[in-house]
Amino acid sequence: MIHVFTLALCLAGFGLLLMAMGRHQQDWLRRKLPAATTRKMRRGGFALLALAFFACGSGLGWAYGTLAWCGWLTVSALAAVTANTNRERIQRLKAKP
Amino acid sequence: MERWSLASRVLAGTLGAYALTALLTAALSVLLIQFGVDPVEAATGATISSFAVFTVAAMAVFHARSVMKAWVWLALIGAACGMVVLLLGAQ
Amino acid sequence: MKSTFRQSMAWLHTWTGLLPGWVLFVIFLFGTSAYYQQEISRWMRPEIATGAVTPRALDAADAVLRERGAGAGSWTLSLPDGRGGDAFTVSWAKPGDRRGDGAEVLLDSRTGAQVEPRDTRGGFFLYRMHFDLHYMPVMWARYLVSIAALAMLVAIVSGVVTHKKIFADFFMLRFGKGQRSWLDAHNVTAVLALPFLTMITYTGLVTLLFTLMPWAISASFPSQEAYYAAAFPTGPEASVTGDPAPMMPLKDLFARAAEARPGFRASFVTVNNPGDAGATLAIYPQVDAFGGPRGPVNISPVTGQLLAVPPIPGAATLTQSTMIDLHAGRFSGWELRALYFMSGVFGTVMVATGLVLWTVKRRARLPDPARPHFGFWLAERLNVGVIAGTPAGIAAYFLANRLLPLQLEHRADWEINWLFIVWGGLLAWGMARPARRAWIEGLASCAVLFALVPVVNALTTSRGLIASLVNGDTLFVVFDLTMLALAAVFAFASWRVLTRRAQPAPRRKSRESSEAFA
Repeated sequence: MIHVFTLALCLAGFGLLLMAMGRHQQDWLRRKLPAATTRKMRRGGFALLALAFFACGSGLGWAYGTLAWCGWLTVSALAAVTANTNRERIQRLKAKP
Repeated sequence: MERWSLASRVLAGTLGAYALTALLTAALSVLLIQFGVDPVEAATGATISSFAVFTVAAMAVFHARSVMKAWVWLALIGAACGMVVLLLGAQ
Repeated sequence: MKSTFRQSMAWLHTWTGLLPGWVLFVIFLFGTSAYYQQEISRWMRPEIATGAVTPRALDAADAVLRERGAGAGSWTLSLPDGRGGDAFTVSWAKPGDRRGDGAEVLLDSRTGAQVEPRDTRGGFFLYRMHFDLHYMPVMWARYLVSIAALAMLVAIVSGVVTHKKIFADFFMLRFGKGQRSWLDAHNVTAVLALPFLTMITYTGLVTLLFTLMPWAISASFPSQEAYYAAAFPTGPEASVTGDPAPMMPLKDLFARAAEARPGFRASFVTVNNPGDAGATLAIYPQVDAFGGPRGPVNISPVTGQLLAVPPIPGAATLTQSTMIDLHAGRFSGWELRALYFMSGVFGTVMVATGLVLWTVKRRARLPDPARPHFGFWLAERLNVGVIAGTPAGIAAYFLANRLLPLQLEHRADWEINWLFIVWGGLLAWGMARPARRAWIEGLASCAVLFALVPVVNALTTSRGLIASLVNGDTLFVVFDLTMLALAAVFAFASWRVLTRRAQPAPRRKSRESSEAFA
């Protein structure tokens, strides 16, 4: 259960970090978000990753939890990269419901 | 000329950095023993850190502005460590 | 040397990555599979049941040893852990014999009944291949592996400082753009798994600690033997008194060990001079606890008294054993094990894409691509032979496990020989064919061989995919599905090479990106 929770937090965190980058905002939203919003998203993204670390560490023990957290970071970053790589396909799917 | 300089640098960055790491590790180990650390602990601890030492040494050699300078530094630090080992090492 | 720090580090990264690259690929591939060595052993020994040793099986082992091992100089018991894959092995040797020379009986870990699984080294071979390689003296292999790992460490650090856009490019993976795509794939696999890759490389070096760096021992101890005597004190010296004395039941001795060290579960047991008043017994713990003690509990099997308590390890020794634990991940539950495996796959793909990138980048600059210079030719062919050949060899190892006759002499050795026959065959094939054809055919052979594994399993055992699904045999289902997934991946890769359009030479538009890894 802790694993699922950690993964969910990491996915959300990397989602925010992805969207906090100008070039990806341009790709996904066709516009750049205001600097203040971007900054909040970046901070929020890192905060979620940190929260995931504390959840994982307190739930599984700090040594074991840290290892698992690193693993889930890789998984969720890969998910973000995969989504970003398939952006056009995803947007086409969303365009025709 | 260029070719010899590169060969010399590769030699310094691999075997030279290795020799430096070996001497530094040995010196660190005997120094720790001198300060009262258990010999097994000293040898183990020094060797665990040796891989980081090698990485830094190799990168420094490959970045040094001149190969001669790199060799001189390797020789100086190596000689200092060698002295420590000769003076304090187990025989 | 190159003028800027980044340029000199890029040069260093290229060569410390390329030269040991093929060895690193082999290390990563076998190491990754070794996270599931027990599960692979379970698949490769379909005759034996899974489970920790029961009290009933322990009693059976006790009876076998007392009856058939009477008068022996030593007894040994090897107990599988809960992940299974190995039989409960009981052996005994005459006084003066070396360990392993004596007789051996394999027992079912639950019932204690004698079993005769097929002769195979199972997943354990994949694990040993990871650092001992094969067909060569173990020490040479370990030197080679250590040197490759040290080069990898330099390559990781120089790669990180070279990659100036490590955060800007974090989410970038663009397909179908030739060299740029290979660079993206190399970066993404390296950066996303960077904590794991750094950890696994450093801790890997620590597992072979004094192999490459024995000099602290030379300087601090009069001899290697003196170091080992101090680091691993042997238990109490067993002396034959000549007075016969009955031994307590093994079950009770195990209970004593558990009293001495709470949570203790035995993995390996030796008894010296059984039946004598001076007999000694050493029980080693299972190594599946993170940072747990590794030394044995020494007990007198006659009186049940504790003989020696191993010293509490110091900080450096504890760091070393913790690093080894981190590397092997034996303490992992199934979720963390899957994460370890996935990270290993990342490492394997990172090495492979780095190797391919080296050739892709230089092919465009060759004066005559039809007749490349020898170094380029060799790198390109080794890429095919190692990247496609090694997985094909592993598939052949699994197939040989099912197809070789059970009565064959040296059967376990032949399974391994088949791994190398197929791998060597693909290596030779890759040298003989044009590079592109060699990739297509090599990857397609991988796909075919992996796809055959579940088929052959279904034909030669009663535990095929359908039967396993019906029986709820999770391990066999997952194993077969993994083989099919691997087949699909290799088939896809082969198809991609086949249908790939000829790449236009990379334009010089993005100069900085092509300079990043010159």
